[in-house]
Amino acid sequence: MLDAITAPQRGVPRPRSASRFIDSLFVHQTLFLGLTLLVWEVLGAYVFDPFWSSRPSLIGERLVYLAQRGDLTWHMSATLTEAGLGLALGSVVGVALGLLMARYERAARITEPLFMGLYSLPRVALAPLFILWFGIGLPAKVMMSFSMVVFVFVLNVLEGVRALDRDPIDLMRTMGASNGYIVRRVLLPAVLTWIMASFRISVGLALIGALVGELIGSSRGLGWYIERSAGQLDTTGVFTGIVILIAIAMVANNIVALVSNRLTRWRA
Amino acid sequence: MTRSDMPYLPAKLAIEHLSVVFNEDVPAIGDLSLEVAEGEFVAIVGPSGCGKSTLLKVVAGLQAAQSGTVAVARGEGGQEPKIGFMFQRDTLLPWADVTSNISVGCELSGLPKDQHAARIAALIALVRLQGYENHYPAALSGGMRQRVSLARLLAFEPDIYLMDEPFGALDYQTKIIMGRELLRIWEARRRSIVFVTHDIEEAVALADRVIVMSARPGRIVASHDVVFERPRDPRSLRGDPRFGTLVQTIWSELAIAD
Repeated sequence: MLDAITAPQRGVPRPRSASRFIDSLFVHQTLFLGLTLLVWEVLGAYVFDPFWSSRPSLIGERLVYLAQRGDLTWHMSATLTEAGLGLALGSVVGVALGLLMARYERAARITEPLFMGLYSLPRVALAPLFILWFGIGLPAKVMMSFSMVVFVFVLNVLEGVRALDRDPIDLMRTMGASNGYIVRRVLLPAVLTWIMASFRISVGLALIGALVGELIGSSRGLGWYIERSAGQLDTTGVFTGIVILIAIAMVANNIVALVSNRLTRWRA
Repeated sequence: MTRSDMPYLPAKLAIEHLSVVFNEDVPAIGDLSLEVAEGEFVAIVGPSGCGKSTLLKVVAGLQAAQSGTVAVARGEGGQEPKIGFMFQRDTLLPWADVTSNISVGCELSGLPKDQHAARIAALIALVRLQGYENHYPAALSGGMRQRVSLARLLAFEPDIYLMDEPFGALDYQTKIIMGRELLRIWEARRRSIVFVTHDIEEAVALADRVIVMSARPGRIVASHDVVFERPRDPRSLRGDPRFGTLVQTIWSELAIAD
């Protein structure tokens, strides 16, 4: 019913010799990226007006300019703080709610349709409300991010508890295990995989939340920078914002994947 | 049902007039009485659905009974009897490595923490899993996983072992080897075992006594003492004419009981 957990990929063995390095996936990925940028650069220079699609070289220049002026960290830190806080809050509240719902099955059945409804609601619709409630400062964006991710955690944790294997629990009960022992030894490790899967899904969603909040009303952040650049018909500015966002998403995804693989090493 | 733990019970396990009914109208076990002596290895065979697994679950406290009593004698120190259960499925924790899975038995046995490592190391040697201490269950074969289960069970040091087709999911060869391992371990340190199986040869090869149960509602139709001397090698038994005769007898009883 929810986004399935994707099995963590096994680490590709490191190539040792030079020829194997040239054949390696990383090199191919880099080459592909470089080629794409090159095609873009050529098209922007000779085929299209860079007004519409900008050019990698212009974006590069802008990045350096923003970095030198300190604007890069200024906007990035804002967006990262919003998304990070939203994700942190969403995960804590979501896991707690999910565990509570799993514990009180009747209450879970009663509230589940509403949660599913909220989960399916395009959260953008909440943005005006959050601006009204929390203003255009940090809290509104954190709440936007929070609203994007919290249900992912609630529903995944609930599903994780429901999918628990009963046999080890029965076995430990016959051996006189306390509830606390079963929670520590069975429930939490089992749910941890679902929590990690939720994080994988939620990193991107948290960024979306922060961005939507910034686009609707703010004075800072990558969303604000993109919005303002578009307002000034500054395509390079828009693309620069997008490139930074892509880089952030890639790094964040890799960090989560790394942590997740480490915590679920036991999966064959 | 009451599960009293009498201090001076003549038997390790005493089941009297036990009846179990599922969903109020499906009789699973009908008026069953059975005693298992201290250190006795009892095997129970019967057709599928005869309630032999249910019987173990009632003794383990995982299934309620309608009437009758089940009493397990207290442990050596007069404490609550420790009941060790082993399923057909390995029921290992997939996120815990071999050492950590076995340590579940130590942790629940009440063994002081500083003695865990030594007991786990000894058990890993006993079930011949040296070198696999840090492997996760997913990386082990079915036979190895059941050996980890067995080590976890031994780490708990139960007063009585309830084994529900513990080797039933293994291939024939692994099953024979596991049976031999179980006997080797059990003969070194005798505890009462109730061993449920649908494999008559396995029952005769391992047990002191084989109980034959009828189809639902399960009752005992026959009980055979197995006279082969101990220690036994289950492999050489199969050539013994008495082995074949006993297996044949139980086969015919099962055919009637079915």
